Amino acid sequence: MAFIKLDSASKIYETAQALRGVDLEVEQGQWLNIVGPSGSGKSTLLNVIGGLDSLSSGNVVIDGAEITGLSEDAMAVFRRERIGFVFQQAHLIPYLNAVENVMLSQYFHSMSDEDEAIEALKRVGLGHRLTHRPSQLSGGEQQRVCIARALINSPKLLLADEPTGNLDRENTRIILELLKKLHQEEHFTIILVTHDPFVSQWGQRIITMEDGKIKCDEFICYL
Amino acid sequence: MVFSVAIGTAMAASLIALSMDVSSKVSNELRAFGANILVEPKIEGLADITGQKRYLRQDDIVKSKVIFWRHNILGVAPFLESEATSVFGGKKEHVKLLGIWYSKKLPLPGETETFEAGVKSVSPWWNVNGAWPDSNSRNVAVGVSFASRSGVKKGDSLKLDGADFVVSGIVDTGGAEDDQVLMDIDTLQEFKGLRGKVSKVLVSALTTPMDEFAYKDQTTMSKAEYEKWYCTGYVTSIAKQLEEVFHNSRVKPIWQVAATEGKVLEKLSFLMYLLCFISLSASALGVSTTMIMSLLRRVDEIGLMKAVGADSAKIIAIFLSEGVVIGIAGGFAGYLLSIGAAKFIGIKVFNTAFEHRAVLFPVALGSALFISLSGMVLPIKRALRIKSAVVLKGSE
Amino acid sequence: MVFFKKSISERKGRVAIASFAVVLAVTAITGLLGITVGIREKLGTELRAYGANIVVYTEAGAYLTEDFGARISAMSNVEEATSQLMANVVFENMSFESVGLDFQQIKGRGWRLSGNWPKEQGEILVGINLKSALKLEAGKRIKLVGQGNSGPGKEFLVAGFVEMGGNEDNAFILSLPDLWSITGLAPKVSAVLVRGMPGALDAVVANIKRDFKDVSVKTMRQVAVAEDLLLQKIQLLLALITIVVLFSASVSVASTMGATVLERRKEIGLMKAIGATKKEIGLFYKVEAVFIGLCGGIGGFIIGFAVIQAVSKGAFNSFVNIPFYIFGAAVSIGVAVSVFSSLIPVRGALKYNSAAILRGD
Repeated sequence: MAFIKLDSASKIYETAQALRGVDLEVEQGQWLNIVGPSGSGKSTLLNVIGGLDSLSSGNVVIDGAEITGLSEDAMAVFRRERIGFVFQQAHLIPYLNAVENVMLSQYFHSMSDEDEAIEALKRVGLGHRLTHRPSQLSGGEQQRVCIARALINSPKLLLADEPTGNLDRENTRIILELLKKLHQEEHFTIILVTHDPFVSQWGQRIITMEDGKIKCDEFICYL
Repeated sequence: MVFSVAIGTAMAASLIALSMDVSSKVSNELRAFGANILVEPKIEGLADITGQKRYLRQDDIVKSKVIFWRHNILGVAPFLESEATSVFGGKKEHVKLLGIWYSKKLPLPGETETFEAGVKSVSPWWNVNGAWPDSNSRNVAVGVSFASRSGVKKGDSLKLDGADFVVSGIVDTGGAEDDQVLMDIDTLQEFKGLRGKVSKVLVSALTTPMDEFAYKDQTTMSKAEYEKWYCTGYVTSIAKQLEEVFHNSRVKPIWQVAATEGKVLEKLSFLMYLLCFISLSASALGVSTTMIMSLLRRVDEIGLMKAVGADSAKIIAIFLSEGVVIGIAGGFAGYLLSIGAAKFIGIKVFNTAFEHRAVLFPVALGSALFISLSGMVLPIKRALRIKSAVVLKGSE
Repeated sequence: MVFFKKSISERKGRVAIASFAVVLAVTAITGLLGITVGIREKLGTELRAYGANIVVYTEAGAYLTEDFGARISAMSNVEEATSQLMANVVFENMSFESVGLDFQQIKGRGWRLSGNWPKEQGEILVGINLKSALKLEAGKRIKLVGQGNSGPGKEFLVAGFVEMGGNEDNAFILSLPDLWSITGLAPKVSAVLVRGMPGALDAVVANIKRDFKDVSVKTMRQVAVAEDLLLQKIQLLLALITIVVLFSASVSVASTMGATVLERRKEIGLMKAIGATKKEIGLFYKVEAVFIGLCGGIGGFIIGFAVIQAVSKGAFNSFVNIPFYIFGAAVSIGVAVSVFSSLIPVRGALKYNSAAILRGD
């Protein structure tokens, strides 16, 4: 059985329909990129998979668990156990330093462990900037803190919404290399939303969204 | 924001309404302490103290309602004092007789209205078990101490100087009357041949608290000063005016009541004004904190304003005009709320609403503007220090 | 725990402003509560001038002894007890009423005096009605003899004249020892005038009746009833004002705290995204609100305490006793207002779709 399975997933907002009966299966350990013009429903699709948004109809099964219809709190628990998020904006807490921002995620998951948090930051190459505040870090560094935060609770699934949208090519490459390493060494399932053709080439599969539907679904050669 | 200014204003305006009116309200309540003016027959010589009794004219009582301060006269009660020998159950005793009206309607000269005179209006704490003696029969009421001493009960027949009276009730006043036999003034006048005469009149009047000016010796006042004193509702000037209408009388404030009243009122109004001041400053500061907080949320906006070339004056103008709008809106809402609050408190505490004063409207508006503009001072200072470059880059 | 500590220590400015709002609220409330509680005692002191509210006496022709006064004033809920002796004295072959009392105890009790207060024994006050009738002047020396006493009497200096609007206006007023010396009645007194705490008069009357046999105890209804009524009304008035101020202060705190939470909407969205339940997020902000409430409550109590003392000093020229529970009440109100104020906006922020918060602006 597929790791992620969407069955005629539809999402209707007050003014527009963002998803129109999407069927999708993702195998465990797959790196999937979602591309498409703005308003095509790619972020909604990601949020539905991450449980940040609920479906109007259809259902979602992740890792054998039906998450459609779960309460918000149950979803939160599900997220912290199995999913790591990375957003376009860093969304770090401004008054906490890098280690503490990572530890906050541990705190909601189980228990804060400073050594583990430091270890995670070292893995993303930030061993030298542990006690810096977000305002003292560059955009790329902030995004790497976010990746460390997303990884800290050992999720099976990593969801990234335009993680490199605010970054230059150099930093984009660093982030992607990092994701690639995690994918190859630790076999994360990664779903990444982007509109950048350069970014979408990193991965095993690209689906193109248009008008709330999957228009094109292709497997590509992994860089 | 408007809401919090409105609430602050409502509080300030209702406290001011309370402060302005609390004196007269409490003054009314203080009348429960009893009469504050005593009308006695004039003392001209030694004989008036030790010798034969002197009397006032009963007809003069209604004149207390024609003096300048007649509307401040809340209660008038005449008393006639006499003595008799009582016989009950074979026991002889010398008792004091007291003629009273409990509540009698007197016609006002030249008007169709009547006013109520009697102990009910000056000594509301007097209690009777049974009925007060009325003028039509030979009823008496006896004081509670006299009753327990002599064993007289309600409905018993009591002989006074050989005449038979029926005890209509037992009176409890907590004063000297508890040892006396009370009857209607008219009955006592007829019984003792004192038609039209009363011994003293107690008056309960709303007064202006005595101040330094009021204590000045009237005989040394200039004409203008005397005029001012006469036309102020001091207990002394009301006494003076009563003296003018009661024939051959001497009218004195009952100082224990009158002086205490002034003190209590003075303290209370001072207290209320202090409370007003404290609450007003607390609410101004409170609004200020709200405004600072809302400014912190608008840092971006201000940074942008600066970036597109707004100078300090423009930013101040924007903030101030916002403050004025908030102040006016809050003032209106607060004024409306304060009417309700003052009314509610007045009715709850004093059974009458606090007077609705038009002057409160500008006061409410003024204090709302004051609250909102003074609340703006700190945020404006902070706003002017904001560096647009730092803000727009989006870092902390 | 480090998160709470940091969220406070690294956001000093905002926490300070929020705490300050709570301080203001609690200051106003503490001040009003303190005054509401203290007003009874304070105004009671002022109302003392209305005179005694309980009289202890015995049947006509008999006397109490002077030590009754001291014994009664030592009882609980008794503010003071003064002894008075009524006796007739003879002046120029005429009989007059006289009152023997302690001049110190009646000073400032609404007696209207022309002339001076008697400084020591040997000086007396004269009722105003006697002034013109007897053609007396302040500074004159007069001789009084106790009625029915064979003694030679004594000369006294007329210190001043009193006007009360009562029986005293027709009497000579002497110090108790002076009246004893010319009447030979020492140490007898006619009555003890007791000033009991308003509201506790029944207890005082019961205690006096229990401790002293063969005396009559009477509540002066005129004073007692009116006092109680007045104090109740004023307390009610202050209590209602307290509620109005509490409401207004809470609104101010709520809008301040509301603003701090609003700016943390993104924070809340993020916490939701990384898997915090509503309860956990609520707890996070509650801890902060409790901290702010505690700081504000304690600070507000201290300032409020100082304010009441200043008000009391100004209005009544004396300090007021603040019962300890006011401190508890002040701090609880501070915490309650602060937690309640932050709860509403946090609840509101939790309702927002976190995906929208995190993507948008």
